[in-house]
Parts: sequence; structure tokens; C-alpha cells
Amino acid sequence: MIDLNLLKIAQPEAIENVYKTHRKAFIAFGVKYGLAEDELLDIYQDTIIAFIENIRKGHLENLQVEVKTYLFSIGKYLIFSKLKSKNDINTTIEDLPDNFVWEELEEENEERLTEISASLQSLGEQCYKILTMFYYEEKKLDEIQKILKYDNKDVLKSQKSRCLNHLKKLLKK
Amino acid sequence: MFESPEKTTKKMSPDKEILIEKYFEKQLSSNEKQLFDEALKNDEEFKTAFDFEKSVKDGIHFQERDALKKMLQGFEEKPQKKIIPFRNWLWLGAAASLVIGFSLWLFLGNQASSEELYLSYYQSYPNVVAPIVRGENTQDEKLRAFAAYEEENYPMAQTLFHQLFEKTKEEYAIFYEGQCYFASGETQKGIQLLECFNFSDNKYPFKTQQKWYLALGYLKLGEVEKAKKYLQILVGYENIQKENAGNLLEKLH
Repeated sequence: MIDLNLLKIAQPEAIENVYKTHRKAFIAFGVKYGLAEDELLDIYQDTIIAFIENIRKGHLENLQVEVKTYLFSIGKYLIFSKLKSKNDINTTIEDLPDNFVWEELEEENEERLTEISASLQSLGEQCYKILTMFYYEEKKLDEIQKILKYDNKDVLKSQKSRCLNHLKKLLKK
Repeated sequence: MFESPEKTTKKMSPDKEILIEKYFEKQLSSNEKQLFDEALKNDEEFKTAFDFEKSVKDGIHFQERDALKKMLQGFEEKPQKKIIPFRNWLWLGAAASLVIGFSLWLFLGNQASSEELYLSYYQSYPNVVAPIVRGENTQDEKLRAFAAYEEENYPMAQTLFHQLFEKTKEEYAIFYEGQCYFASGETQKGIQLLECFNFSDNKYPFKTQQKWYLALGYLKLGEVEKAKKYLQILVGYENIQKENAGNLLEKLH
């Protein structure tokens, strides 16, 4: 039984558990679409990443279906995207499951993204926490204030602004 | 808006900052959405501020996804090393010289078998603590230690983790220092380090993995009974290595 709360805090053991539990069945399921095993493994890893991302964003609070069913429908979507990128014109993209959001990052921006990502790591833990909660986990400032125990929202807001300014300076270097 | 003026050279009006904040919180009313769209189109300062925050958002997504991808890749079983069957080799040796005593044969045979088992189960534990950005030189000690670890520069990583533990007393530093010893074949040192440390229950699975690596370490040294002791603990409760521990125990009987 997979505890979604442990995935929500990105606990490595829970992630390893969910990853290993469905890996074999997923590859077997994907083979019929004519993709090679290494491509499917790559897609399976992205499926898990997308799944955990949605849990962390709070989109799957009331998951009504089994984790396996959910993973396979995300996987199917990603498999179809892959087939489409290979110019398989007969392919239409399957719909994503309800409440599920997956934004592709533009590949041409990779250099810039790597740069930002590296600067984020130099920011210090508190800044990284605040920015991740706000921009990645999509928590509202009120929630972040409670979780990180700020006296009031304004203190948190000015801390967030300082973090962004610091990041801006790091990127200019 | 809530920061002191000297902190920023240009200050946007509070209303506009709130618009951006609400955009990311997905809280814009239809009226505000209209104001937002107009500002994005006509107000360069607003657009620059928004674009920057949007790029931060993308950068964090990139970082988090990349980190998780590496973690998942680390969970993949390593390709099984082709093991030369030790007994066959021994048989050739014996056929050539016929001087090896039965007890020595038995001794070497057992040792080979636990070494073989060790080789087929051992893989270094992936970095689940500090994801490293590709190609980045960093001065941060924690990241330097993990970068060396990921590059399989174990002696360097061991030294860095050791210094890090002296300084911070963080559990992960001890755990990965132990990993460095195991990975570089200094099994005895790895065992000594891991065995005397009491890991706490926290986000990271060090408490379980400690037992697993101690079992493997003893297996490598041919101390099968000590290895079994740790495996038996692992099969006794729900954890990620329970199945592996059960399989390994069966093979040791």
C-alpha cells in the first residue's frame, strides 16, 4: 500500500517503493506501442516524476482510482506524446487524467534553466524552501507562512522578495 | 512593496506586485485578469518582473524534475556483473595440481559464494540528499561532497563527507562516508563507521539501509552469521529491503 502523504514530502523510500512496484508491469504494458525498452524506462521515470509532482502540488488529494491505474494513464499520455514526436501521424494524444497538470519545459531554454537551477542551489536553504513551496508546490503565501512559522505574511513577503533579488544578482554574475 | 527602498533599485507599484502574486496563486478575478493582461502588454517594467518570476518557476521545475530523475535512475539495478564461477576455476586448479586439501576447498568455496552473493546484490546507494546540477562547479561543501560521490571519486568524497560530519553532525554525511568506504573496497572501515552510529527515523531511509549495507559488508568479509543477523532484522518489518533481505537469507541457508 502506497502512502501518498510520504510521497507528498518526497520521502526517498516511498518513491523507491512506488517506482519499483509498477516498473515491470509498465514496461510490459508499453512494449505493445512499439517503443524500445530504454525509451519506455525513460518514459516510466517521467511518469513517476509527473505523478509525484502532482501529489506535491496537491492535485491528487482525493485520488479515486488505484495508483497503478493512474500511473498507467499518465504513462499512456507520455507514450503517445513520444510517438507523436516521432512523427507517427496516425497517433492522437490521449487525454490526461482529471486534475492532472503536466507542463513541458521548453528544451531550447535548457541552458537558461540550468543556470537558474544552479543559482537556486546557492541561495541558501530557507530561500529555496520558500521559492519551491510557492512556485513548485503552488502553495499560497498564507499556507507557507504557517508551515515556515513566520509571524506575519508581510515578513514572509519581504523575505521572498529578498530571495528573488538575491537570485537576480547571482544570475547577473 | 514590503521591503525597504534601498533593497531594490526600481519599485513596482504594490497593486502590480499583488497582480503577479495572485497570478501565481491562481487567484486572479476576471477583472484582475484583464488588468494583468493589459499590464503584460503595455507595461514593460511589469512584463520584465513577471517574466523573471516565470523563469524562476520554470527553473525550479527543471531542478526538481532533474533531481528526481537522477534519484530514479539510481534505483535501477546495476547491470549484473558477469561473475566467473569460482568453483569452476578452482576445479581447474585442483586438476592441475591436486594438492588442495578438502577443508581448504570447502573454506574457499564458502568464501567465494558469499563474495558472489555480495557482488550480485551490492550497489552503491544513490544520492538522494543533494541533487547536483549538471556541469556546475560549486563551492558548497555539501554539493562538492555529493558531486565527488556521483563522479565515483570515492576517496575525495569520503574526505569531504568526513569534514562535513565534523562540522554539521548531519546523519547523511556519516551514511555516505560509509558508502564511500564500501564503494572503494574498504569494507571493514565502512562497517566500523556504520555499525556504531545510531540513525534516527527521518525522511531518509538511512536506518534501514544501514542494516542492509552492514549485512552486505559482513557477507563480503565472509562473516556470514553476522550478515544473517542484520538480514533477519530486515525481514522482520516493512521496509524497502525486506524482499532483497529475504531472498539473500534463503541463498545463505
